[in-house]
Amino acid sequence: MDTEEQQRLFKRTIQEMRRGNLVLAVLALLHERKYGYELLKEMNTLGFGLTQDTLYPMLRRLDEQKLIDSEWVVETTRPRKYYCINRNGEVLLENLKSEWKNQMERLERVIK
Amino acid sequence: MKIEESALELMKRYLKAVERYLPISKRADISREIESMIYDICEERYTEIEVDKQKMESVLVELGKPSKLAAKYKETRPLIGPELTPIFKLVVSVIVLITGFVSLINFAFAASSMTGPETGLYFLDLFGSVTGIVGTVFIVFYILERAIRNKSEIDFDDETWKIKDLPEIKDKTPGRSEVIAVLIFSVIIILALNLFTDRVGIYEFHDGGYNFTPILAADIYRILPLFSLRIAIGAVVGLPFIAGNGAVTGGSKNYYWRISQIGLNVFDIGIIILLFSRGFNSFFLSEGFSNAGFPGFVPVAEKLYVGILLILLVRCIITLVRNTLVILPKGRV
Repeated sequence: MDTEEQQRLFKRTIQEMRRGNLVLAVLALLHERKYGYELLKEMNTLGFGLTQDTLYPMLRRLDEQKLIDSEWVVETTRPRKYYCINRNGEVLLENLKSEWKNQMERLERVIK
Repeated sequence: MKIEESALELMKRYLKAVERYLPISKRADISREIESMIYDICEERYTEIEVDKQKMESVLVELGKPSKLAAKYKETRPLIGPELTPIFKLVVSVIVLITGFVSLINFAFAASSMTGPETGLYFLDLFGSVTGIVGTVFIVFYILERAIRNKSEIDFDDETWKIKDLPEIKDKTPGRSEVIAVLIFSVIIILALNLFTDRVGIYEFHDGGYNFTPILAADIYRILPLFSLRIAIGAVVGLPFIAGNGAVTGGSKNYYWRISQIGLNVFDIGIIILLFSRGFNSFFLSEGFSNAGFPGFVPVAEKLYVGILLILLVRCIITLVRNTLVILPKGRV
């Protein structure tokens, strides 16, 4: 396997790892009401390296799954859609957190 | 932050391109989300300076190919993907139109010798044939979709996408002359309906004079006020200050227009059902055709009457469903 192929495989694996964690991160960050771009900037400041075309559709999916609430709010001249975690989301978040800790422990043991 | 008119138009063209690949029920809301996102990006990058066409172009290029962005909003990839959907729709439309046209001509020639049940069977056969053809086309496109799916990364390559490929926005706002023309035309139609209906019939010219045979029955006058009312309401709700200025994303500007269209759709369906229930003979004089020497035309006209009403009814129901789906998902701000 050449270096280029290795890099490609690495990138794809990282993407898959991130994809699984994104829901957990988004739900955790939506304890406060935020609009999409605000959340995107916050996540990228934290180093998630996320793009708009990943986050916005995910927010819509979480909304449709009734894990977060959304609301259009008119601010000054134009509307913005705000998102906030709801009771269903809180329950899922707690379960995901617990599962994440378990996985971390298992991985720690494996990769030592 | 200020956005130049040309930059705004570019954004609208982009949104329109994305909307083409979105399901109708979610189209308006997703489009508004993306619009809001574009505003946020511009606001962050160009707080102090005006967003011109070039700056907007760079933002849109970053967002990527419209079909690719729209595809991200779909949880599961559809059986026929966004690349093939426009061609699939075109092929199906052409086939249905040609089949419908040929069948209608065929029916017009054969109708006089058909009995009632035979007419029913004819339309049932037609429905079966069209469904079969559309199904076959669907299977062909599904196989094509499978074949190109492995190459989807190539098809979705942003490098193949250019800003100039975005669809043009047709200005839906009617000009003053257009509005006046529509109003005048509506008034003329209403006047013609109410003043000259009794002159509708068969004219036979001979020896410098003519014989007139009426073909409309008395009941037609009872339904004329409904037609007049429908035309008047249609003209009024089409006025720009009521219809809005053709907002691209189905936002608040044309929300009331949609509602009024739903009202009109229901009104139309009511009229069609009324025409159905009363039947051909309530509104047309069969003896008029016979007296004028066209007795064979009556059975054809009766079947055409039912056929046309059926087509109009289906069209009204489809429009009603479309208008309802557009406003249903999230309402408006």
